[in-house]
Amino acid sequence: MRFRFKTGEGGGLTLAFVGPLVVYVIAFLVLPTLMLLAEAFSGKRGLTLKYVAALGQGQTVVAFRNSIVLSALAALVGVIAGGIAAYLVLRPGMKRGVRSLVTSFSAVAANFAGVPLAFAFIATLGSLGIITVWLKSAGVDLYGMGFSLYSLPGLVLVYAYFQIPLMIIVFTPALEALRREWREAAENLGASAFDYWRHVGLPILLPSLLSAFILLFGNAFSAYATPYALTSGIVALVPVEISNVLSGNVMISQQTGAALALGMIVVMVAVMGLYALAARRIGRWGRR
Amino acid sequence: MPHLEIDGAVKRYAGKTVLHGIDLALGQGEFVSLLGPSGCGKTTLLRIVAGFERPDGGRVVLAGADITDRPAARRNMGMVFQAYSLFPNMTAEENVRFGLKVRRETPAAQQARAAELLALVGLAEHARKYPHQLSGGQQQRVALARALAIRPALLLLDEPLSALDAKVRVQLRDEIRRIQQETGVTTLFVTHDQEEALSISDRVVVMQEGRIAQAGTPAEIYGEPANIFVARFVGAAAELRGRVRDAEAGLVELCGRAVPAVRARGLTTGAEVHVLLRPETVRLGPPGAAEALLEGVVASRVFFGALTSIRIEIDGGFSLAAAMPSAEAGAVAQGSRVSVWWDGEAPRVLAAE
Repeated sequence: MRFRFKTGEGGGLTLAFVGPLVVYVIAFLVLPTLMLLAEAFSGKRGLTLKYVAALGQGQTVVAFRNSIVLSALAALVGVIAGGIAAYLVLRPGMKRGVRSLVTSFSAVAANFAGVPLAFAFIATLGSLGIITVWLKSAGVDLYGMGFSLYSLPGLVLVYAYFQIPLMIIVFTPALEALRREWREAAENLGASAFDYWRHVGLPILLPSLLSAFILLFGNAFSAYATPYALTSGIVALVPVEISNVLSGNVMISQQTGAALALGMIVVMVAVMGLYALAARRIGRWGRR
Repeated sequence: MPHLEIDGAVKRYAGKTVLHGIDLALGQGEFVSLLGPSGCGKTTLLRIVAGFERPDGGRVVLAGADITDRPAARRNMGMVFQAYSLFPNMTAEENVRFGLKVRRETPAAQQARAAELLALVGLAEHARKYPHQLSGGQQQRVALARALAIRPALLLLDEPLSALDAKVRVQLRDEIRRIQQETGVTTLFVTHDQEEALSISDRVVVMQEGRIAQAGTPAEIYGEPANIFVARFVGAAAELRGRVRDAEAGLVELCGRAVPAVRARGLTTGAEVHVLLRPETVRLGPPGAAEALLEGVVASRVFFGALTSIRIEIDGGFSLAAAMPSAEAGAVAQGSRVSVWWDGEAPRVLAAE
C-alpha cells in the first residue's frame, strides 16, 4: 500500500502541522496576553488605570531601566563577541574538529542558565570565588577595584556566558550563506578586506545581525532565575519585580504583576517595531 | 612577448598533483578557452592566474611582470564567475561601479564608466535594479560589465554560461565574443562545453588530468585531434578499431575491407589504429552504389532541425553516425539498407594505445 501526503490545493498537510501550532500559540500566548491586559486594567470596582499608572513609580521605572540597559548591553556583547567567534570558527582553513567542538559547546552553553550558572559564577567570580581569591593573592583585588558580580556589569558578564553561544548558533547560518564568490569578486576588483566587509559583507549580514540582537535582547530581558539567584533582588529587574509581587515577597498583587508583564510586552513590541523599521530600510535589496 | 605567460604551473592538494607543470602563453587580445571535463584542472589553473590559488611550482607572468606572489586585489584582472556573484545588496549600476569605487575614482567617473559598460552589455535601462530583479542572463551581463569596468589587463571567465538555459547561453556566448572583440581585452575562458569553446575562441586548450592534451585553433582541435582523449571529448565521432593495410597507399582495414584513410600514411603497415569519422564526413547512398566502401542498415534517425543524425549498423559489427541535411534525410528510412562511404581525407587515424 502506498501512502501519499496531500499537498494540493486543500493544504491538508499544511493544516495538519501548522494547525496545532496555531492552537498552541492562541492557548499559551494570545489568551494569556489578553488575560494580562484585562487583569492589568481590572480593579475591585471594575476598570482602573491604577496598576498601569503605578508603572511610573520610582522603583518600577528603575527596574525597567535596569532591565532594558542590561538586556541591550548583554545583547550587544553577545552580538559582537559571538559574531566574531562564529566568523573565526567558520574561516576557511579552520579545522573541522574545532568547528564541531565550538558548535557543540555553544548548544550546551546557550541553554546553561538559571541557578546552576549563577552558582558557577559565584564560585569563581563571587566575592569569595576561586578566581577572585586567586587574583587577590596575586595582587589584583577585583572587588577593591569596584567590580561586583552582583551588579549590572556583573550580570552582563554572566549573561555573556549564554548570550555568546546563542549568537554563535543563530549567526552561523547567516555567515555560511555569504558566498565565496562575493569575497573573491570584491578582491578581484581590487577591494581590500576592509572594503569587502564595509561595502558587501556587513551590509548583507546586517538584517541577520539585527534579528540576532532582538533575539538576544529578548533572551536577556526575560531572564529571571539567573539574576534572581545571583543578586537576590539587589539589582531591580522587571522579571524579579513580577516574581516579588506574585509570590508575596513584598505584597501580593496579581494586577501589579499583570501590569509589569504588560510593560515588558510593550517594551518588546517597541523593540520589534524599531527592528521592523530598520530591517525594512536596510533589507530593501532583498525584497521581491 | 606574450601578454600572459604561465610557466610550469604545478598545484597539489593533499599530496595529489592536480596540475603537472602547465605551460601556456596568451597573446595580446587573444581569446583562449581552457576546455576539459570536471576535475581536469582548468578552474584551478584559472584561479592561479586570478591569484586565488598559489601554485606549488612555476610562475605567472603578466605583461612581462612576474605576478605569482601578487595578491588577487592587485592583479587588475576582471573575473566573471560560474555562479551568480553579483553583490545582492547593490543595484546593477552599483555593482559595476564597485571596482572603480574601491580604486577611489571620482563619483562622476564611476557613473560615466558604469553607464558606458551597462550600455555595452545592453542593460542601460536596468541600472537601478537589484540582482534578484534580473534574469540569470542579465545578471551575468552585469557581472561582465563589472569585470570590464576596471579596464582589466586580463578577463577571466569561469564557466559563466553554465547556469543559463540553452537559448540564453548561445545569445550571451555571442555577446561575450562581440564585447571581447570590441574591447580587445585578452581573455581566458574556462568551460567544459566543447561547442562553446570551439565557437568563441581564437585558441582552445584541451586539458586532461592536469595536463594540456592539445592546444590549437578550434579547427585544429576538431579536425586534427592529437589523441583519442581529445577526439572523444571534442565533437562526435565514430571510433572504429582497425589496422593499417597499406601505409604507403593510405589504406586501413575495417571489417575485413580496405578503405581509404590518407592519414594512415606515415604509420606502420599492420599497426593497430583508431579510425575516427565525424558524422558530417560520412556519405550515404542506395545499396550497391559505385562509391560504397561499406554497407549497413539504418538503425535509428534523430531529427535535430536542420540536420538529422542517422545511425547505421555496419555489416561486420560496428556502428557509425552520419549527419545529413534533414531535407535529404527523408529518403533514408529506418531499417533500410544503405551504402556508406567517405573521402580518403576525412578519417583521422590514431595509433592504438
